[in-house]
Amino acid sequence: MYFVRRILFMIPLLLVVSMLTFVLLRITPGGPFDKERAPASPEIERNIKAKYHLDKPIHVQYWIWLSGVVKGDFGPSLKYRSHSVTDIIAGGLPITLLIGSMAFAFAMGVGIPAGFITSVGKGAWQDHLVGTLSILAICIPALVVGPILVTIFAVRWQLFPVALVGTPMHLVLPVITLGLYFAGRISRLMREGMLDTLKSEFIRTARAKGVSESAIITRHAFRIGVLPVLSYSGPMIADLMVGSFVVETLFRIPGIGVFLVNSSLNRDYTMLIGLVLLYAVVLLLANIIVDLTHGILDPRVKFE
Amino acid sequence: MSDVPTNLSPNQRALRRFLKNRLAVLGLLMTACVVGAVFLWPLVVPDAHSEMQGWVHHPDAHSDEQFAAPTGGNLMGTDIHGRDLLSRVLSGTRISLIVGAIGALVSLVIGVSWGAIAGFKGGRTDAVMMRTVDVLYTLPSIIFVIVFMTTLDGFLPRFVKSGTINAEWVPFLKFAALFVGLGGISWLTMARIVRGHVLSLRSRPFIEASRALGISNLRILKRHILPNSLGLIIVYLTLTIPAIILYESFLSYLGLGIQPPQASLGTLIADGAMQINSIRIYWWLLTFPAGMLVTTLLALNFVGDGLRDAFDPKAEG
Repeated sequence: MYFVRRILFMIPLLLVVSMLTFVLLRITPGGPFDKERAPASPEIERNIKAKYHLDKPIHVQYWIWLSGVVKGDFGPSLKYRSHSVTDIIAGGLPITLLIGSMAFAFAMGVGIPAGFITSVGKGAWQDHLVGTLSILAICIPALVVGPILVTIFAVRWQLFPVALVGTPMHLVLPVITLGLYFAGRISRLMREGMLDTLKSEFIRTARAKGVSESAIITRHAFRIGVLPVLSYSGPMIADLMVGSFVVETLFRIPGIGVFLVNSSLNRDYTMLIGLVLLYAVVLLLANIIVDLTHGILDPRVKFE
Repeated sequence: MSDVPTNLSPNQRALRRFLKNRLAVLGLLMTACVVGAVFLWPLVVPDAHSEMQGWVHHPDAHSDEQFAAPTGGNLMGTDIHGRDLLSRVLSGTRISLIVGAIGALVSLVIGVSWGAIAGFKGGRTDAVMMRTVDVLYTLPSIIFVIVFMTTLDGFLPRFVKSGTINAEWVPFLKFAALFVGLGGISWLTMARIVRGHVLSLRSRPFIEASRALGISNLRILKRHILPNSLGLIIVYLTLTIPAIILYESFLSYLGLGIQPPQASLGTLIADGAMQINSIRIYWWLLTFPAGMLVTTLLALNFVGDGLRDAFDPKAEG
């Protein structure tokens, strides 16, 4: 019931977000046609504007746009006029989602074991080594990691392709570039979560009952110790999106991140609004999934 | 921590713990070096149009020495226009630090007032305000900054044309929009933390005593609640600065933040990344700005983490 309400609450939220973005971008003077050759006559300009409904009052424009969106049509891109926004999103979304989810898996797959190792061997050499590496990863953003990886592994040693997509080999460098920072963050969070959990009452009870230390760590503590990582994964998906803009630009990957940046530079308003809405939907859904998982892992959490 | 004397105030004890943390002190020294270098540099640079002599140059001074490798004259080499990279890195760091610091202050003002009001008022106000924060957490905030910058980009030329603002203000206004925008999306964590702290302070006897004495709410907030939350606020302020610097460098890297001829670390790294090719590697164009960004972020994060550990109430006792 709680989650049904959460999903229903998305509708007014998305309406508000879309309305704000729409109005803000439509009242902005200047438009996508500014950078192109001036129309031959005022007549033609009027026709173009009429075709894209730019001559109507703003609430009418919003209504026209919204009734299209309900049918899955985000309107034409004002820059790439032979394509609709829906087409462009459908073309770029799979590759963005693929790289994003692989980076997510990479960050979890590297970060959780790393945090686990540092917490179990607290104060030992592996704690210092992996801990330092994690802090380094946090302070080296994607826009530094990416060019360095490209220079060394793609240009100098030519182990991986420099750019574009195609084979699985193309994905290695972008995924590492995108995921490394988050692997570091997760490693630190996991360590803190485990250390906090190992101090708690129910672990002491388990020890008193004579449960073996390895069973305590893997079966009891891990479940609760991983929760900080889980709560971080909501905001993390938002930051992954930002990172994906950089990664897509750097590796010339034809995902939707590139279109978001370009539509902002070109003032391609329909494109920008469509993408803002899409990102909002993805994030909202991701957060609902995170909360669901939270409830499954931690029996103390109750949703009402 | 049994060796810490107990006759000190909590803040003094936190300071002692901070100074014992070697990594944090190292971070503080590194921060001091970076800040000192970038803000003292403008005092010694010559005019942009003077001849290139020595190793101190103006960040915008052009020369014929394009893509020169680091030498005694240009310690970090030169870029595509023959400009001295050392001086560009220093001025870029200055811009990044200013955006980070002012952006963090903007987030501080919004976050602290939001959290303090929510925690202090409690009840329905608290519920509505914190639900709003929850909702904002789930929205793609950085994209709003992009939309905001795009909108401003459209309005500024019109204002210039109509004479409302001077054309010379445009770069400054864009700069201001950048840190207002970034600060405007970075206050959520601060609001949550402050609200939690205020909530716990509110029921303490000395606040009840002030209330019984008939002191106004605003005065209680100003005189008692905020000073008691100061340590916590400083901790999250230091952690917000590197976060905003990171966002700024991302936006600038994408061409949406700082605009040329101004440079920030993000645009410098983007320029360096553009020159990567298989024929020749201009390694200095990438290494020095990237190294500077990493050093700055490391230093600020060390300080922030050190402060957080020092002010952690669990460390008391």
